[in-house]
Formats: sequence, C-alpha cells, structure tokens
Amino acid sequence: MADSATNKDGADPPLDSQPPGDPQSEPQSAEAPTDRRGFVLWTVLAVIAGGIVSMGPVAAGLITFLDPLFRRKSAGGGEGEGPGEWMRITTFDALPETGEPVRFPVLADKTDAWNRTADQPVGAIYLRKIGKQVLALNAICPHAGCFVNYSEAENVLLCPCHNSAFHADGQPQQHNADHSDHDDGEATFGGKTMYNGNANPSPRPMDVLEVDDDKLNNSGEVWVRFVNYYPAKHEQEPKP
Amino acid sequence: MKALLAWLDDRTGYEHFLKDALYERVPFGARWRYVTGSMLVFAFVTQMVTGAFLWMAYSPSSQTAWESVYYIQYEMTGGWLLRGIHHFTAQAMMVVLGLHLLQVMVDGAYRAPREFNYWLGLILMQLVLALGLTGYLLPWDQKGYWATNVATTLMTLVPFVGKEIQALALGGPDYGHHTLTRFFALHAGVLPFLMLVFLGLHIALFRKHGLHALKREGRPDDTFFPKQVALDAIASVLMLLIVLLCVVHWDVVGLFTGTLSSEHLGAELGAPADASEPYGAARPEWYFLFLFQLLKYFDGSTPLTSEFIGAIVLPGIIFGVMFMAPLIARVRGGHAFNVAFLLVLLVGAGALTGIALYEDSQNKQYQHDVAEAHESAERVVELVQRSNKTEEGEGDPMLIPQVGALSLLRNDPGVQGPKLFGRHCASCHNYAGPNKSEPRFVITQDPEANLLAEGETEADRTIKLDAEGNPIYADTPTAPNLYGFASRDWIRGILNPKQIVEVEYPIVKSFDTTLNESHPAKFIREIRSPYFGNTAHKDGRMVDWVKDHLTDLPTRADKEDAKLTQDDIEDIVIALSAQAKLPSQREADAADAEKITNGVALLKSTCATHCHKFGDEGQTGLAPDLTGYGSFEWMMGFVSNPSHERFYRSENDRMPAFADNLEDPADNQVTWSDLGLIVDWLRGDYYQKSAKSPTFAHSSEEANAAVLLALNSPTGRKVIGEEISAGAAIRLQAESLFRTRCSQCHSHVDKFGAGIAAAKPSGPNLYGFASRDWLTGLLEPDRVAGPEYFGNTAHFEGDMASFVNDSFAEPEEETKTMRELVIIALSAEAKLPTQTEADEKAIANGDLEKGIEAFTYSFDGGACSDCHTLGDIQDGSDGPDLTGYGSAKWIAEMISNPNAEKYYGENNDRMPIFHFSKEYADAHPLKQPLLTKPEVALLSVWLRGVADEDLAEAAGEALDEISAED
Repeated sequence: MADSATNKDGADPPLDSQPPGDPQSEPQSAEAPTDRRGFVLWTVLAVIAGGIVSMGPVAAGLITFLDPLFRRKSAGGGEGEGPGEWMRITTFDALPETGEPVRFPVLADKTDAWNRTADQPVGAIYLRKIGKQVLALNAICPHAGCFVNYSEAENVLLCPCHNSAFHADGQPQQHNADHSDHDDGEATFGGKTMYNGNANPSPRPMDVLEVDDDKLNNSGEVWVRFVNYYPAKHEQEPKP
Repeated sequence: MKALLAWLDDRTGYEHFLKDALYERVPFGARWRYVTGSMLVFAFVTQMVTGAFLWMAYSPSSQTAWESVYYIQYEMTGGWLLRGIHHFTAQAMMVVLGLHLLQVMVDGAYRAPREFNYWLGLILMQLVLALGLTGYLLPWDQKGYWATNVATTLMTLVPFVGKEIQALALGGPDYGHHTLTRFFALHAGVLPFLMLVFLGLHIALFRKHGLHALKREGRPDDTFFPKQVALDAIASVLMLLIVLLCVVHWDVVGLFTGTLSSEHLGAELGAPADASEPYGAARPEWYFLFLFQLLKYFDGSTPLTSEFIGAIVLPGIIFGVMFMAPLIARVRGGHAFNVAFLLVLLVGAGALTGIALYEDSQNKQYQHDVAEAHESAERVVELVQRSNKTEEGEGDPMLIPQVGALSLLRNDPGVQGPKLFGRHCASCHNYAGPNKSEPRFVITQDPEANLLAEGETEADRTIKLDAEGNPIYADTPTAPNLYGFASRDWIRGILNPKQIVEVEYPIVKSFDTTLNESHPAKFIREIRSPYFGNTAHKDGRMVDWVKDHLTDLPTRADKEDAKLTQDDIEDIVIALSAQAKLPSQREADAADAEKITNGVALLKSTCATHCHKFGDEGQTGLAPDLTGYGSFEWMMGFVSNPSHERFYRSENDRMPAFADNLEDPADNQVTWSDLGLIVDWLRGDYYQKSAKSPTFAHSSEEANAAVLLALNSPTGRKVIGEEISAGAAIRLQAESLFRTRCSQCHSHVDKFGAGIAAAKPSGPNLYGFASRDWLTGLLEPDRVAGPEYFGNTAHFEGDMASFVNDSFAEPEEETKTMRELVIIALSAEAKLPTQTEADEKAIANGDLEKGIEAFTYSFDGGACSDCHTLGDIQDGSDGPDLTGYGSAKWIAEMISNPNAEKYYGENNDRMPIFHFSKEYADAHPLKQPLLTKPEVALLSVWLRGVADEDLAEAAGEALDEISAED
C-alpha cells in the first residue's frame, strides 16, 4: 500500500504490465522466519486450527443439508410386496363401458416436511375398463414427469411438454424416422393430429399400476397399488 | 472542506481508488461495444435491490409462497412494479449476457492473458442461469412448478448420483416446503453471494489486464471517465427503459391514461401449483426454450439420441468446447473456430427457440391450455378478492384461508363443477346452452365401421351402411340436457308435448378434409335430446300425461272455465322453479310471489293428486317428490340415489346411485363433496365476479347433511310460496321465538339434522324433550356429556352426569330394566301428545307404577330420589322437581325462572330468567321480560311437539294454567 499511495499521477501503466501495487512485491519487504523447526511447527498448527475453524461449521451445515439422503423412506409397501401403497380409487361401475381412459386423482395423506395433511391429491391415474379387468396407468409422463392428457378426439394419451404420445394401453406411439405412420393401432378416426411430425421422446411405456383383482371381482371396487416411478429412465425405478 | 477531504484521503486513500476506477485507460477511445459489462453490473445491482425488497414480503413454503406473491402483486402498493422490474430485468440480463459473450469472443478478449477472466465469465453465466431457474419456481404457480419439474427430473439422468442430486435439490423425493426453502436460499443467498465473489474477481482481473481493445488507428485514447461512463450510463438507462416498458407490456397509452388492465401489470402470476392438476401450458422461460425444444429430438430411438445425451452430454460438450476456447485459440485458426462455434451455437439456439415458438403457435391444444391457464389464474384471483360490494365500491377482499389458495380453486364449483361433470355425468347427460363460451358437453357417436385388414390404413376405414345407404349407429340412450336444470325455461320445455320427447342427431363434419367421403369421421353425429326423448321415460306416464293434458291448451282469457289453461301452466312452471331457489332467478322469484302462490296450489291439485308428492299432498314412490325440487338438498338426494323412494324408485332408468351408502360414505362412487360441487355448478350457485356479495360453495359437511336430510328426514322440507294454515302460522311463530330467544344456546334438531340448529350449542338439544328417546339419551354415559345434552354446560361434570356415569357405564340386566322403567314413568309425567298410546299402555301393564317405584331404586350412583322430587316421593330436592316433568306447565315455569327453588335453584348454569314473577315485575316496573307470558306458553307447548292445528288451543290452556297462580 505504501507503494501505491505515492503513485498519484493517474497515468496508468501500459497494457498487460504489472501495476505497481501488485501484491507479489509485498513479501520481499517481510523477512522470512529463520527458525526452520519453529516455522514447520507453526505451519502445521495453523493448518490444523484453521481447518477445524473453517470445516466445523461447514460440516454441521452439510449434515443438515444432506438430510434428504438420510431420510429416504423404505420403498416397501408392507410385507415385502414391493413398492407403493394400495389405494381405493373408485368403483368398477364408475368406469365407462367404452373403455376410454378416465383420469382420477389419487388422494392420500401427504407429508410435506413439517405438515401432514389428510386426503391430499398426490397424483393421478388413468383407469380403463377392459372387459372385466381394469387397466391403471400412472398419469405422470415417463419422459420428463409432466402430466399426460387424454385426447378424446384422437383416443391418445398425449404429454403436453415434449409431445410424448401413448396408445390408450400406455404403449408409446411408434416413432419412425420419417414420422409418417405414427397413426397406427389404436389411434382411430383421428385424421391429422398435432403430434404429427414429431418423434416420441418417451424412454418407456406409461407406468402400469397393479390392480387388485380380488377386490375388483368381489366388491366391484378398484384398488390400485400407487407407485411413482422416476421419469426419464428406461427401466422403472420406484420413487421412495 | 478541502482539509476534510485531505484528511479522509490520508486515512483511507480513497482518491487513489477513485482515480484508479475513473481514469482507467480506454485505448482508441470510448465505444458503444464496451457497454455490456457495465450494463450487466447495473442489472445485477438492480436485481439485488429489487430482490431484497421482494424478500421482505415473500414467504417460502408451499402454503404461503403463492399467497405472499399474490399479496405483493395484487395488494401491496407498487408491488406489481417491483415484481415486474425484477422479472424483466432478469430477462434483459440474459440478452445482455449473450451480447457480452459475443463481444468478448469476436474481439478476442478471451485470449491470453485473459483466460482466467473468460473462465470467470463463464462461471458467472452459469450463476445467472441458475438464478433464473431457481427464481422461476419461487412464485409456486403452475407455470413455474411444472417447468421446474422437468428441469429437476432431468437431474436424475446424471449417472450414479442423479437421484441423490435431485433429492438434495428438492429437499426430499417430492416437491414441497423444502424445495422452496432450498430454492429460495439458493436464489437469494448462495447464488448472489457467489455472484458477488466471482464478479469481484472478474472486475479485478479486468482491471489488472486492462481493457482489451481492437486497434483503431488515429483514434486517441480515452479515460474511462467521463465518456465511457456516459455511454455505459446511457445504455443502462435504455435497458431500464425497455424493462419498464416490458413491465407495463408496452401499454404506454394505458399507463398514461391510468387504464392499465391487470394483465398489463408486471409479471404474470399463474394459478397456484397443484401436483394433481395437469398443466398443458408448461414451458420454461424463453431463454431455456432451446433446451426444451432440443429434448423433443432426443427420443431414445437410437443410443445417440437418448435423453441422457440430449440433456446432459450434449450441453456438457458444448460447454466444454466453450471452456476450452482460450486454449483452442492458441492454434492456428482457433480463434476463427471459436467465433464460428459461438455463432453457430447462438443461431442454433435461436432456431430451436423459433421452432419451439412456431410449434406452439400451431398447436391448438397448447393454445387451449394456455387460455385455460389464464382463466384459472384469473379465477383464483377473483375468489381471493371476493368482497361485499357496496355502492361506494368494493369492500375488503375475503383473501385466502390459512390452508392456502389452492383450496379456493379445489372447492370452487365454477372450476371443479365442469371437470367433475365431465368425469361422472357427461357420458349420458349433455350440458349445452346457447352460450358457446360456457363449458359445453355434447355426446357424440361414431358410426359402426369395418375393422381394418392387414396393410390397410386409417384412410381405408369405411362405415357400415344399412339398406338405404345410411350409416348404422349403435343404439345409445342418453339422459336430459342439464343446462339450466330446474330453471323456468327448463321446466317449460319438459311440460311441452313436443320438446319432452324431442331427439335430434345432427352430423358433425370432421375437420380433416383429406379423408374420403365414406370415412367414418365424416359421420360422427351428436345426440341432442333435451329431455326424455332418448330414455325409457319417453314411453312413460309423464310423457303420456303431458301429451294428453297439455296439448293445445286455451289461455285464461279465451276460456275462463277451462280446467287448465296456458296461464295455469306458466304459474306451475314459475312455482315449481321457485322451489329450486336458483341464484339466477332470485329477482324473478321475488317479483312473482303471487304467481308462485297460485302455481303451488295448482301443483297440488294437478301434479300431486296421483303421481308426485308436493308438500303435504300426494305420496312418494311413484314419481319424484317435487317438494324442494331442484334445490341443493333435493339434487344432492337425487344424484346420491335416484332409485330412492323419494325419487324414481323402480322407475329409475339406468341412472347410477352415485353415493347411496349412508353408513359408509367412503364406499360411494363419488364423494358427497364432489357431488356438491357438481350440483352447485349446475345450479349456478357459486361466486360470480359481478356478484354483490361473496358466495361460498357448500362445504363437504353441508353436502353430507343435505344428503342425509334428502334421503332420510321427512321433516324440514317446506314448499316455497305455499299458503299456510292458521296452525302452521302459529308454529312458525313459535319457531321464530325459539330461533331468536333460545337458539343461542339450544338446538331443536331431529336426528337427521333438520330443524333449528344453535349458533353455538351450549344447552341440550330440545327436540323431543321429555320423550322416552330424549330421556334414554340423557341416561347414556356416552351421550349425557355430549353436545346434545350437558356437554357444553357446567352440568357436564355435575351430579347428574356423574350419576349416569357411575350407574350405567356397564349396566347389568337389572339396572337396564330399572332404567327403562324410570324412563317410562318420567316420560309419562309429560303426557306428550306424541306418546299418548305408549303412556296408556304403560299404565295398563303396570310399567308406570313400577317406574315410580324404581325412582327410589338404588343404582350404583344412587337413587333418582336422592336429588329429585317426584310427586309424593320427596326425599331430595337438589335437582329440579320432576313432578309433572315435561308438561306445559313444568316447561313454562322452567323457562320463566330456572333459578326457582323448585327447578335448578342455585345450580342453574347461565340460563336466563325469561319471565319475571309478579313481585319482581312490580318492584322493577321499567324492566321488560325477555318473553311475555303468552310467548312462554306457546314455546312450552311447541316444545312438546303439539301438532300445528292444536297449538293455539294448547297454548291457551297453558297460559291459563300459569296465569292462575298469579
């Protein structure tokens, strides 16, 4: 600082040269310690003490920050049956005979950090009546996690985000290089569709959820084991 | 002054710093192209300042984030401006950042010896993008929620630790409070701090190396101050100006005339985030659109186009190349490559953005979703701002309940009604009015078509034709159009011989012109049947009756002695529609009181003779009860169980019972609260922006109560506009007395909840007072301390309650019998008109006598006679004297003065003295009693359940009885 204080003319040094106030010139004015053993000792001490001082708070903070990793729920649904929880969604009679998918919200107790609220919508599923069976699809798009819409006009499940399109059975519409014949199989009477010309970016079919056939046949109730899977993966990986 | 500055300089050396800062050399003169850096600094400072103020009003949690942003945007003075500046400056920053990068790259300012500064710049760019991403989520609206959702989903693509990274970012596996707290801490704390650090380093290194300038011969050097400073300042002012124009959405006229519409006030706030509500309009901010578009191409069809490549690897490579730019520049042609690379990148990103925008502009569904998103955003604000409008203007808004703004949308019939109707009703019912802008549901039907053979495509599909060459359709029955159900127009139509069976099948042309003429899509038809035309009822008695009796009716003027005229039918229409109490007909109903009275009489003599029940006339079981027709209660009952005997019973044509399980409501197809939303929507009974006062939807408790009432209780239903009998008028008088004088504390409701409910129940429910049922409840440990009896009084832990608990907690058979007998005897004291038969039987079989003996029986908790007097049994007198318990005289005396020694004495808990004794009244001539003597008499007989027609006489007798003592 003493150096630079004298340099008051305001004219700057030429480009890319070292300015006079450069700190590199500083140590020369301080004398290096002569006692070598003392120097090493004090250095070690300074590093250790400094490390403790700086790492202590950081470690404490980090542990709390990493809390979500320690807190992952066991992904079991009881009795080692696999992930998810059985939930009653609706009754068999409520589903249309035509077999078109109908969306139902899934209500469950929701824990959100310090809040626990009963009967909150935690997701949605599509249900289809197929004969005496019910097909249940998680409404979350397996591509990037948006909500898939059902388009009645084209009988297709269509994601509004990146145009993933699925047949009513959850299978992805085929994507061809020339994108011309997406309109196969179940996409009936559709005519032109807006996803025409786009590839289908979904890595896997929509997630099919397990339906309790016993309850369906005995009491006419639709019970579904509700699981959310990580989107964007080829294989189903249940969320905790 | 000079001395002071010199002293300051001596102590701080500020002059040096100042000069250093201001007189930095600008080789070859100041230029416009150097302004971007300063603009970015200015923008960043703006963000810090506006951000700090936003911070003071923002609350990060899933129940308060949207709510606090709403408050900033709509309620706080200038809040929209503050938010708007913060929002649009962020976007301006992205643009200037791009220009800055371009300038550095083109001018070669990234090359040695400035590599480090270039890298610092890249880090700063990442920080700015991160600030944009984190800030987008904070309002917690649908837009930010779903867009950010995609971004965090992509995090899981990172190999090995993807899920962990996502969990750390979200603060858990799903979005919630901790996602907001973390994003907010990043956005307002960590990232700005890093920005400051790296910006400091960036500027320090910039100073160290000096400004990198392109040679321009013959131009003299400048110093930074004043010319370059002036240019920077002008550029920043221009940027601020553009930002401000963006904030008002370029609506300068509106700004100066003071007519800025709410959409033009700063940044948009969408509807509150809802994990269960699909959001088709989900898009990231425009500066991320190119990434969004890019992802559409990485569809996983080949390993090279997997999502992982598109979202992680490709951006990684691009950033890697940019990072290496100073090193690449060392080789020959490297600089040219770098510039070209950046240009290609910018043009590519621009093209992708353009494609994304173009695709959206062509996407009808997207346009629709965006419009819908705007609508629900507007709707939620409407609901929050519900207020009592007075002539002076708006009242205070109702604002947001503590559970959050989402509950407003979820419980709004205007929003949920159409959705639920679509899910549960629209497969049979149309909902189609003349107004195209309202929600419409019309059933359509495809013709039968051939199945496709191998190799055939959609275009080859053809329809099956009948002998005459017409397409064949399946026979699909549909139910009435529910638009305007129970309104005058609707009822007018069903009483019209033609309309009641009308059915049409208009063909709706396919929008696809490429299909050939025989394609099935060309023959999709609508089914329009306003009433019974397409149901089994079309051959039913109602249709027959309408055809037989209502065809070619004369008018009243034409034929005065006609049994039924057009005018009569109009009165019936008006009267029946009035039963629904539709909000849209409030004025019309009030204006037509006379016609309603006439119509009600006609309904009774015309419709309630053979088929329908209406009020006290007619019977149920043959056709729907018309009492309360179209009201919330009636519709809730009907939809819950149309086969109930009050409605269609066996005549019901395939309408499902949506919620007929009263014991276990969880087993119903649809919850009662959802049905309530549908019914409220159908009835138009929900808040409209133009309404003068806030309307609240029926709560789920009210919906439950309505169903119970509709399917159970025969009482509590009244015909609107009925001429009332003299007896009923007296009953209404008694009810009104009870409502004004007693219902502060007491209820008078039957077991289905019909009757007069206390505002805040604190005394026993007096319905059926002194009856056997009532006493049975009183002597139940579970119930005596419940809200029906002493639950909310001081008596709930008094002697009576302890007696019941001690005696009947686990009663033995003998105890039960004795209790039974006491109840019989005690109830007989009341001589209730509703119980005459049972009392006579008790006298005949000796139960009464045994009951009086049982009064002295020692239960575990003691004998009744320990506290109460009953006739000759006069052992105890702490509790009320039970001689003549429940008689008109007893009740009248109790009401008049519960403090009397004979009644509660000093044990009385807050029950007022309703009528003074003669001595008291003489001593205090100015005091008015709460009830007059005749009023006390009327109340006491009404409480005994005396029939309407006997009320007057019984009240007179009671009055004589209590007056005799004066």
